[in-house]
Amino acid sequence: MLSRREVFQLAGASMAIATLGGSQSAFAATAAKPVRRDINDVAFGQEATDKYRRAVGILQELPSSDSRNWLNLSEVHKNFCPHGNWYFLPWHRAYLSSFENICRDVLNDGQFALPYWDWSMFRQLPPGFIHQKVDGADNPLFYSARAMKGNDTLSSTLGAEADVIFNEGNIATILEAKAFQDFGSFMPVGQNNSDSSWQRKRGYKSTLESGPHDYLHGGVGGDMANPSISPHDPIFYLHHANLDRLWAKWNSIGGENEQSSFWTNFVFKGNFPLADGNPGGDIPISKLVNIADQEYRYEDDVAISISQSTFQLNSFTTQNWVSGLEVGKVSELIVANNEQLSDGVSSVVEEKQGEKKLVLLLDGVTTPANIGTTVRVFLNCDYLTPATPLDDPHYATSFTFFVAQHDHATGENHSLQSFAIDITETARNLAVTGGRLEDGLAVQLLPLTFDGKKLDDNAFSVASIQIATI
Amino acid sequence: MLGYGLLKFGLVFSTLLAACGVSWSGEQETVASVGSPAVLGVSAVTSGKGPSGTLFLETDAHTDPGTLYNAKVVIKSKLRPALIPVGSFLVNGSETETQGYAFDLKSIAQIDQSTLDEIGRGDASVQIDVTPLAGATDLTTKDVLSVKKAEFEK
Repeated sequence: MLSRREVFQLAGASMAIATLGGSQSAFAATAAKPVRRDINDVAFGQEATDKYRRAVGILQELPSSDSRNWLNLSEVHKNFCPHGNWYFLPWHRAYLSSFENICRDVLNDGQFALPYWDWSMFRQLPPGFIHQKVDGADNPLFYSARAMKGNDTLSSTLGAEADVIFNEGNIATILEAKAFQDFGSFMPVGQNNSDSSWQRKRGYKSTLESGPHDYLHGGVGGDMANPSISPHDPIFYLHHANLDRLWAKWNSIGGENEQSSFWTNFVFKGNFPLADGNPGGDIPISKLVNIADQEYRYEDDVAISISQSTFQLNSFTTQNWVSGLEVGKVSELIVANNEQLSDGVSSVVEEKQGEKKLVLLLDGVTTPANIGTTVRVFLNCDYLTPATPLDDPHYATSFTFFVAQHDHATGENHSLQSFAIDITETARNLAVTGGRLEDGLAVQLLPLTFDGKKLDDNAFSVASIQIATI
Repeated sequence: MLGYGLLKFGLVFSTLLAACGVSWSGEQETVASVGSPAVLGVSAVTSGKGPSGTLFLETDAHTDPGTLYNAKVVIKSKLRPALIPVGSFLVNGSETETQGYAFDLKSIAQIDQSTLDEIGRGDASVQIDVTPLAGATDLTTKDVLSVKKAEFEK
């Protein structure tokens, strides 16, 4: 049985498992929908970036007389967006859906889905947004009025506060909110009906809005820090897709949406253009609250669709990890191949798109003194260094450490941590590229600090690892 | 004896705060600048604005558009000298209207029930420190943020 904390760790590591609700049939029903994926996903990120780049390029070229022109779409946000009240999340869900439908239309691609930027796991601009030119042509995803450049991290633009705001532990705490308003911001002060005049009246920002939402806008900076023109920057839509994903995740782990009729009966009136550019009609919040009713799904929807009874861990091997880990140094453990491991890996790799997952479990992980440390996980990479990019096919994921497990007063660690890491796609990639899986599995951990500084006295350790399928 | 000691400490502490111009009673707008935090008494209310245990702040930014500051929020209990970090928010000069922020104090590990009770009696203040964000060049001590209201939902 997984604890609540473990569930969050699994979710943070992009694990596709579930402990709550749903059914297999629910998964089947959503399988045909366009899938919003992590822009940094090793397998799908490049394709998602390329499609989004083409869509943005087309919209930027549309004449100003077309309501779908890039700057006109930004005006929708300027004219109607609610911030600092409980319409923040549903309004942006509708805005992104309208935008996504327009992208599908101009691309003539019904399966287009907005990618999202998981800034908790990857705190730099996605690679496709950095360079002014791509293949010699202007890159529509590059935006000069952006303070964050190149390899800047959120820590380098926001300072140490970013390590707290975007830490997985903080996101997990936000996801533990019990009431909708605690999660998605509060009712406007004095609201006494569901009239549309309340749409932009001030309430109070929840930690999700005042924290990751606001700080990401500030950290990217430039026009992103100005609510009137923030959608001028193409990264805007990926930021809000991630917030929308977190709302879906909060619902999936038991968070219940607001029940007040001032919220449930509210209607966004004529805010959003249709895919063909004609004015859209009214969109009631009731059509926005359930992720299953939307025309997209998130790649980790499986996490809410598999019933608890289907969760089964089949462990093939457990090995102790003897050496300690130091920032900037690769630590490696080679799991020798055997028939059971080989069969287990093959069963997942050959399934290609099935629900079965190959997981790496790290047990007994101590916490480094500086929790502003991320650990990159690679498999079978012969040339791994701190400069190895995260789009390398050997890269699996990164994890970091929970603030909540530190006693704030004493700074002590009270418990060891365990991490479950989905290595399914990495294993499939390596099978395709001949990544010598048949020789065994080299699990490589590379700890780095968020700010890139070398630290002494920051060693930590991993007690053991397991390779398993679920 | 302990109770008397605490009472005496509380009286002395209150006197010192009063001498510094700090009020516990709330509703008195204060201004934060770099190096000079805003301190405002927390009013305990039953407003129905949100769940019990929520701290509501209302602030005005006085910064230029595009200039960002970090505002760190801590609770100062009347009887306990330790400052308890509650969270932080971004001061953005582009947001020209009054901004409201909510913090769930029950989710803060260092705030136990006795501290919540104390805040619920109106025996606490909120302190907000502002610092320029990395890369900011305007480090002057001009007014950054007015804290207009601090309310705790009992």
